[in-house]
Amino acid sequence: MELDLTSEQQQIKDAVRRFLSRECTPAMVRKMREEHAALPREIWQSMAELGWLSLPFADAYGGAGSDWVTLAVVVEELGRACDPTPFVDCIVTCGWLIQDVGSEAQKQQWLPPLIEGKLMLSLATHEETALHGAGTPPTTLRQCPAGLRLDGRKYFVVNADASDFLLVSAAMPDSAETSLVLVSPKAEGVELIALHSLAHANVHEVRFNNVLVPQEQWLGDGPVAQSRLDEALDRTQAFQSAAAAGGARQVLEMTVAYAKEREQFGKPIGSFQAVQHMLANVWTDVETAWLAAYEAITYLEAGLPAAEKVAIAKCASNATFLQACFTAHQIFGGMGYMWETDLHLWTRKAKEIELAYGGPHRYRRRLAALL
Amino acid sequence: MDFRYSAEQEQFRQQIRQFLDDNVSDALREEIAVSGHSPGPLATEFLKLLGKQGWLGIGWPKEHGGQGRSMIEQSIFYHELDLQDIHYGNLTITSLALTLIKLASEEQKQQYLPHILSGDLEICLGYTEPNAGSDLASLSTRAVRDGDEYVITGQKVYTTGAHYASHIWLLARTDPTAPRHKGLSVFIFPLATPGVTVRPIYTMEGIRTNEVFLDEVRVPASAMIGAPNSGFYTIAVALDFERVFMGKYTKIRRNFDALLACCKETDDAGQARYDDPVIQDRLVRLHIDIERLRLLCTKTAWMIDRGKVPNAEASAQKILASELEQRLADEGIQILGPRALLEYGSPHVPMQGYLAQSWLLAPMMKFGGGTNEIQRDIVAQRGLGLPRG
Repeated sequence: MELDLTSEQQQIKDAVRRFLSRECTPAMVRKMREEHAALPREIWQSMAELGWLSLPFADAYGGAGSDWVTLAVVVEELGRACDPTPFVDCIVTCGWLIQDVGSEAQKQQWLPPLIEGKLMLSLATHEETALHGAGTPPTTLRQCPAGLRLDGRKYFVVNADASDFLLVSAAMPDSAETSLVLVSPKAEGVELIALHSLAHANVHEVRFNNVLVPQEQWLGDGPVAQSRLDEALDRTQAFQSAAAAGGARQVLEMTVAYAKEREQFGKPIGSFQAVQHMLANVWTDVETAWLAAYEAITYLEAGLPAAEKVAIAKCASNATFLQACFTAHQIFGGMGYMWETDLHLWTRKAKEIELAYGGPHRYRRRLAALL
Repeated sequence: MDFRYSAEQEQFRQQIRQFLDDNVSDALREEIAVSGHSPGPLATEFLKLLGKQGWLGIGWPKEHGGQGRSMIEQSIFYHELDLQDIHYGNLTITSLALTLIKLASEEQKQQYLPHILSGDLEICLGYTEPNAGSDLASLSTRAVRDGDEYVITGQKVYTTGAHYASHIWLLARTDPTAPRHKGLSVFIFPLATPGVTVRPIYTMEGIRTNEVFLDEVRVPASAMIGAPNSGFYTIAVALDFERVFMGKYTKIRRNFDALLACCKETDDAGQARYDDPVIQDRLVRLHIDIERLRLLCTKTAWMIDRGKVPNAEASAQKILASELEQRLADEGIQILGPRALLEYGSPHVPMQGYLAQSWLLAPMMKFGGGTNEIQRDIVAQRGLGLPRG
């Protein structure tokens, strides 16, 4: 049993924190969110140069093939900085999926530019409950003489207007399996419709209308088992849990600092028991959520059964991040509620990632089935 | 980073499990269930058997007769006992012996540790007084030096185990002129010492605790643990160990698993409580929180192994465990319905009355060992560095 980071992991964690405190300040996060803007490419390029985009990928494609805890500390620090980057979506989800299911030629084609920061990807798999009951038909893929044709709609696609390709899931007639295709958002027949969420994230609905997809952009050259996609989403959730734990810890630290400094009735409000107890509860939640996230990640890495661990990490970390924010609002009062203050950036983020890649209900249903 | 037990630790667990399978009888479980936390003859015999096997000193250093294993292995042992329904709340072993190893003189270690290890010496805690509960430093029991002796006078209350323990571990004021925290000392001495009177008090759960009167009790100066007037530090060490022990998750896990099994039983119509999605979700939420507690327990055991002192962590563990125990018992009774109000031995009792017993015990778990409010103060002040009020 070992619950400490190695010194190399700690060094990377410190380096990521230094970089983000310089490059991804709350002011920048705010500007991006106010303008629904994509991350400046220079920042992404710097992250590539620092090697972070290479972490999960094999040496053969220019990757670092790092251990998963190293990747997790990067994601945790991004969460701390109220992550304005598409790192989780682009690298942890899409890139890793290509490595999982792509043909050798596809991996050679797509992974090196991804690692170099020259290619950005967005996941487009969400279609279910966006228009609850409206019965949008599932996205479908058909063979045609020129290649493949894609029809359908996806919702909550992150960063779609800034990405070079979307990784789209689709069903084929007469196939129980899933197809994953890479589609340019600029291809003919692709329409992007900006959505305006309380999270202020840059998200779109993407409509595919008889879009021609070249055969070689069909990952794995054919349909793959749905379980491959599910595994990738579980892995994403485990890393997102580290991001949520990081975000929660940051919010807790900001709140503790404020409670030590803000005086009322002639003393710091952090000396009042009512305030101390709220913060003690958040600290306890953050500790256990952090442990749950890293336990899930290390189990996945070791190839051990982790469906339950991931579900617990997901539920624990999201609830903790939100509760940390709600508590912070109570303690900051107006100083966290005014538009010009920073706290609500994290609050919005906490709600956004709670629902990303499947909300907590899905994971509690899974636990109910596993118990 | 690795959250798993090592192969050796897993092997150790198997060894304990085998030993318990071979040695824990239904009669012993029954005796523990009905004896209201006062050990009966089978439990006493079993304790001595554990001592003979060396199981009482798993994490103790070898030079004190222990096995010199890690705290993680020690915690594996207690968890396995819990899973066998041996709810073994012996603070002599889990808290005081570890404190003696850390703070007592060599002579005192020789005097007490072998007897603790063999199961002959059991100690009760003399902290709380009628007017000193959470504000323990305000206590008024006094110990006055007289030659080679101290003369102790005062009263302790809620002294659980004083009617069967051999010794008391007592906090008394030795310097009335010093600031409150700096004038206290810890003594250990036999309850059979002249001047000690033990009277019963019964709790809401129906078990016996005691009040202890001390009337000019003479003890040798060598009965003092640690330096004079360092008693508050001594008990802080003991309380950190106690909280780690009180915050165990295994008993809660065991009760949860039993509740889940009850919910999955089908009736004559083939229906189970677990078919109800409302019940599923409540159990899932409990399960998540028990897992979070398990992770914190893992962390505190790992910290102790690494020579770190878990104080905010130990306090958080005690808060989580006590509140979860109450929630599990309360929601469990709701889910199973009025039958779950039945107590051990009643016709129709489910889960051998655990839920009812645990529900009655839960308020004490929240205020005992330092109230959860004091624990939250510790987390906020020691863990987060917030200023004292």
